[in-house]
Amino acid sequence: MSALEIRDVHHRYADAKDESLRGASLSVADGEMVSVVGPSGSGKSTLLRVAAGLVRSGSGQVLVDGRDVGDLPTERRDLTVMFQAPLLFDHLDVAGNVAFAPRLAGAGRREARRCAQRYLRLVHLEGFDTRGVASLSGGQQQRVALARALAAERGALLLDEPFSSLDRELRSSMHDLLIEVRAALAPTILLVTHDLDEAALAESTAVLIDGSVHQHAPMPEIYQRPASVPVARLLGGFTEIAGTIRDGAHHSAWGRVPVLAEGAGDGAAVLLVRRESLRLEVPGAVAGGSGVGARVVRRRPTGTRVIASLVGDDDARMEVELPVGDDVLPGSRVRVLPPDGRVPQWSVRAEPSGASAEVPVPGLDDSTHDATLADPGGHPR
Amino acid sequence: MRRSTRAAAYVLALVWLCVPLLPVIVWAGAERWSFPDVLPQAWGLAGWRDAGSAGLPLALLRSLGLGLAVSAVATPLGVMTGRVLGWRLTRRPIVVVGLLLVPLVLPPFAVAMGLDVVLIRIGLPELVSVVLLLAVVAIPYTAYTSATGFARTSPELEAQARALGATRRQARLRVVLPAMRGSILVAALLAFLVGWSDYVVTLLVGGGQLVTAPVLLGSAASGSGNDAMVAAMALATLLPPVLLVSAAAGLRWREPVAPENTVTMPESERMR
Repeated sequence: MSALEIRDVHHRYADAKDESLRGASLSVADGEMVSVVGPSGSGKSTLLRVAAGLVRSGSGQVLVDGRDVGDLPTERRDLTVMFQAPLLFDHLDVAGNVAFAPRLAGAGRREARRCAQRYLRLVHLEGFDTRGVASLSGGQQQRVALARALAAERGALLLDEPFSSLDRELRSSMHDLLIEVRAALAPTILLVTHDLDEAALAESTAVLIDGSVHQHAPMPEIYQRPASVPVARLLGGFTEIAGTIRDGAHHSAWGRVPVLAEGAGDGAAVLLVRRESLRLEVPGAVAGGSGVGARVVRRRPTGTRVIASLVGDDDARMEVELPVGDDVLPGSRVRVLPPDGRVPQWSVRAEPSGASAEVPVPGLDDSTHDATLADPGGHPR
Repeated sequence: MRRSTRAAAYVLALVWLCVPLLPVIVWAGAERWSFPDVLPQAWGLAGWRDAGSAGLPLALLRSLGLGLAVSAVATPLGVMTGRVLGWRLTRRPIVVVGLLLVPLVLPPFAVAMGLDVVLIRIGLPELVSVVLLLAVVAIPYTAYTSATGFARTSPELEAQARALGATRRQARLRVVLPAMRGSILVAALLAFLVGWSDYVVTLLVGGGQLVTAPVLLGSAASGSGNDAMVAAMALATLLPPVLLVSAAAGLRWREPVAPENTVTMPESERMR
């Protein structure tokens, strides 16, 4: 297997006003799996296509094991791609599909089909060799597509939302299969997906927003310390509190909240608080308590818990995940309490007005409420 | 549709197609058939013998050759045009469509006469001119049939094949063309039929030297007065395309359904 590196890639589609990739960079070590997530239109698939040579970049480099393959055609890049659709060749049977790449590489028919059987066993489709691909279910077709990609025995495997067309159960079984395949072959994988759970299968995740990588880190770290407001919005479940940092604490209408030193420095900053760490209180229950007044605009049950969407008195929007058994009525007045004041929270630098990436604020679909980002003065806008 | 209604529709369609042929079939087996008898007074194969003597076997062979030649020229050109239209690889599809429709919109006589002059001036042999002119007439059919097929086939197939190690040429020959085989077969068949059944272009441009089955049939029908021979020629001219169409329909019927052929065109492939 090989290491894959994408360096400072720019790309613009013909007739498009804006670039689809703006200096995107990321690297995948030999045998590692890196996932790429991002909102629709963020350039995820374009990045993968540039890496595969299916789309030509305006500038930048694609390196496979340190060798620049930017000028090589797709078939000579030592990479292979698995797309969202299985794209099986219906004039070939299952083994014929899997043996396609070995045959191209010069293997005889019998040898190539033997090789295909090995990979079909790996994806639990032994005995399917002579079946027509049209007779397979969607999950089986994706397994054949995976076996076919593996049988190409390329340096790196690029997966473009390969399981997104499958239902939840099938997707889960494909995730298990991917883990098995990784344990058996340790392929280098670049996985593009919009499914955050799927992205978490990888050692690290790159968050691509508006064509540039905002953060590349293991998924737990991204959840704990999102690098920017757009990243937090992509993940969902964060309440953004505009304010100012000084003396190691974030100051806003919510009061003084200690912040982690690795986050934003002194100046305008947005406190990113997980919705499960906020608490709701009926006004007047604690006289003169901290927090902000708010109105519940929507409640959304999710299994055992309810997520309340609120609009604060300062028009800031927030989400609170209530403890099991608690509930709240839309329209009611509440007080939202900040997290435990002894635990430092995560904050990011407030982005200048108009510089925020196009990631919708999760939780509210009320179009009358715009995204709330702090301006340099620390005031919500 | 209910089974009985469908059966009735099939029977009606069959009657619609076969009834006009009945007198021809009867005439082809008649030695003598005069008014007012409903059936011939004498049956026999005189019409077939006369047709053979008039050069029907050679004319059929010439028609076969002409059909194959027209198909060989019009099918690849039509497939290439169909790829451009079906996968929307041009910014101005309306121009391509307009060019394709010209030979169909203009009367064949005018097209034949107009292009004939050009081809004669170039100095092309008559046979080549006939093939090229008929190919021009056939390309709209082959292009549209192919375009429909390409529109149903994912352009990602080519990208997938290349990602598995195929060169652009290998991807097209080993993956895209097999995926399009049904549409290409129909396109080739349509082009063949244009060549096989043409009368006007073959007669005008061929200058009467290229005696194909329709030319022989037209000549016999207009001047011989031998109805049995004309009927035999008509049947002999009709049978090969009917058999070919039936065979093609049978082949298409047996084709498996493609697992995924409705994937949308990737942005990168559009309008280049």
